[in-house]
Amino acid sequence: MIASANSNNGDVARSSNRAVRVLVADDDPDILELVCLRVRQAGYEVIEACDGAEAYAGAIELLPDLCILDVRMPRMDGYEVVRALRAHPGTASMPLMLLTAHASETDRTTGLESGADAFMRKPFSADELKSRVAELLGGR
Amino acid sequence: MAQSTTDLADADSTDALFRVIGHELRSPLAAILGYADLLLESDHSLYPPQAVNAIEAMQRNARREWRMLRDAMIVIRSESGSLSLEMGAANLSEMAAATVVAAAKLAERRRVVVRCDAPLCDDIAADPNRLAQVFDNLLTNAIKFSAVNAGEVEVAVREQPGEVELIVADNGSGVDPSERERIFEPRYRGTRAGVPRPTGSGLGLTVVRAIAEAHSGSVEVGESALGGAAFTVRLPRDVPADGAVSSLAEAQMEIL
Repeated sequence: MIASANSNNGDVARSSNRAVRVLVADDDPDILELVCLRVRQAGYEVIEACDGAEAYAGAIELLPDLCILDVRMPRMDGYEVVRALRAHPGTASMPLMLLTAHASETDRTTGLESGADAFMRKPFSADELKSRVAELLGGR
Repeated sequence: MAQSTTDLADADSTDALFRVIGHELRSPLAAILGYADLLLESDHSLYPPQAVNAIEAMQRNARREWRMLRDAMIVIRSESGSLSLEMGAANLSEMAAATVVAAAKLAERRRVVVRCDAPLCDDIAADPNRLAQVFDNLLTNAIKFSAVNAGEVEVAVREQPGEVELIVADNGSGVDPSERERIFEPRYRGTRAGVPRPTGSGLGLTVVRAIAEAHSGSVEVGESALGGAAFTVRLPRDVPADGAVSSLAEAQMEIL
């Protein structure tokens, strides 16, 4: 079930100057909460998803400005979500970042082939996360 | 370059198990470190006095664990010939300055004065993340082994024709000439007298050598002008194309 952290701000989201929304997906609730918290701290609205299928459905339906996706998730892994979103006309050019526990080049290669725009390794610092998000959002 | 999973099945199973554990430990560590950071960013006046120290101790120890894990993964990859580099641009003088800043707390706790002599140099072709590990390990090592209560450490970057040198020197008891090769072997800690047994994986210098060599570079230890040990890492400005080893075996592992 998709939980929109600021669902009471629907008016803001519908206005022409709507908040920038970031979808965050991780099956580890502690990491999910941490990432969401940091993204909110940076001033963005957050859409939470707790597995890959939910992330895909949420991205298609809510069209966030950026998705942060854990690589290893049940139902659909991060790579599968990226490939599926790239294949969908509404999300083909959506900025997508994979969150990985795997330091190896392999992850990066597979991820970039699947169409992700960026990678972030665990553990990550708050500053690192915020600057990558800002970079991907291109000043939005 | 095709490699079947059978090769992996034939691989040392302990090695494979360590890789899996290594990967699985990263997420919990990311959570511990992330939440500790969060608490330490909050208003300290909200906590009882010992709480900040306690959180800092947890953070410090989680970081130590993270370093050990990171070092162990490098050694395992290096020993199985699957240490890969993600090449980019690295600026050694900027990295030296950043490492000194990052180690400031450790230096303060151990009452070690750290100087950085790294005039701005040109970028070299290298894996910045792996090199950061080299800087971190050498500096942490130097701080630990510098003279007790009067520690001095100097980090220097020197440009040479075709290569860049990183020198990390301390004023500790130095490394005996008979140990200067063995000190880079895994788990070899040396016999430096009067130095308390250090905490750590015992893999730090092995990692330094593995990463330097993966960049077609080298590391050696000698005497420093400060009276202790001086580690010199030499890195070519451009790593030959075959310097980066494929990590196909690892790819197989991670797909599982």
